[in-house]
Amino acid sequence: MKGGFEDKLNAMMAEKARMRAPAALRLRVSAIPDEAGPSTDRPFRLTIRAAAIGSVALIAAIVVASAWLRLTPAIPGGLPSTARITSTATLASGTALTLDTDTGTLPPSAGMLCMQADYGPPVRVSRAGSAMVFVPTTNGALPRLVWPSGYTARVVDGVAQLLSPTGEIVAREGDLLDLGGGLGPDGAFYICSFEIVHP
Amino acid sequence: MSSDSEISAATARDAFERLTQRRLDRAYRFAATILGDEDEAQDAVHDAAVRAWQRWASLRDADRFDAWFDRIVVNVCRDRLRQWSSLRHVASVYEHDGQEVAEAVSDGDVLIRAFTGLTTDHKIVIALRYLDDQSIEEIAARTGVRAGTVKSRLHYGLRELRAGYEAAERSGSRSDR
Repeated sequence: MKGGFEDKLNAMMAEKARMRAPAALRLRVSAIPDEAGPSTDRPFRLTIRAAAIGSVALIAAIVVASAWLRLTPAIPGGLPSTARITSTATLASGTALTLDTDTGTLPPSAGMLCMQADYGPPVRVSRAGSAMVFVPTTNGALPRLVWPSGYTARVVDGVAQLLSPTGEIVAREGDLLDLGGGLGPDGAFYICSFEIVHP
Repeated sequence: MSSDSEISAATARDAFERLTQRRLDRAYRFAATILGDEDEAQDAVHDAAVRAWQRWASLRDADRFDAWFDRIVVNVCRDRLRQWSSLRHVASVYEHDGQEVAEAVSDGDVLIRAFTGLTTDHKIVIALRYLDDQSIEEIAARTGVRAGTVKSRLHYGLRELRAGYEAAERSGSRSDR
């Protein structure tokens, strides 16, 4: 980079570095209600009456859910098309989960997919039987997600883990992920390895 | 007398307040630089603080607060720019100290305009590097990408910024004639 241009860039940033958060912003941050905070830190007093009401509601919910499951042949909507519910049994620690990964079937131009787009809303890492699945956090259909070659999934101590090609844990069951990549000619969303972000 | 949970909640709130207020200047100037609008920057930092408080339980080590909060601020700014890109073109008017400067009259303004034209990812890495003086590894931690990707974005971002700046300068010198 030319010295002159870098000097100008540094001067611009130095000017911005003198900016201070306005007092109004400090007040707004101080005014964030406690109730918006972490639920685990909120005081919670369980009264006998609340416990009784909660128990009745829980039993009612179980009865309704049981009836619904008997009457409904398949789980509608909630899970993406990649979900394959094969078993609800507990899997042994270390069991590999199935995960759609790129097998090199994409045309050479697919390298440009990384520059296309983010998937959009975050997805939640989940498990359906012996498959790792990704549940959209908003309404709408989720395209088939294809992970970069080398990515794997497994269960450890009952928790599903998503692993990078180097074995690093990228995400655990329950985590949210922002995904970037692009749509392939087959309609699947091909994820770029450097666009897998925890929101 | 307070219960343990009430004390715990009060302690968490105190820590949140103290750590967030201490980081507010940096977060604000970063957001203002990225978004190019001081009102939007205030909204973005406020949103980031709300998000941080909501997720407070996920911060296991207070020593990591700075990087954790910076990452939330980066994500909030990125989300806002994504929303903007589909809604409107970023205004060319830049406000400073309450005065509106509608025309590019100095090198600084030309550079700001060129910066505004960069992609979101390029803006973020350049601001973290040149405004916050963060290392490649620190930027990688705050943006959730690899160090190599940060270097690449810095390289191409700076190249684009310089090209935009020089193009604007050339057109400015032509119009002066």
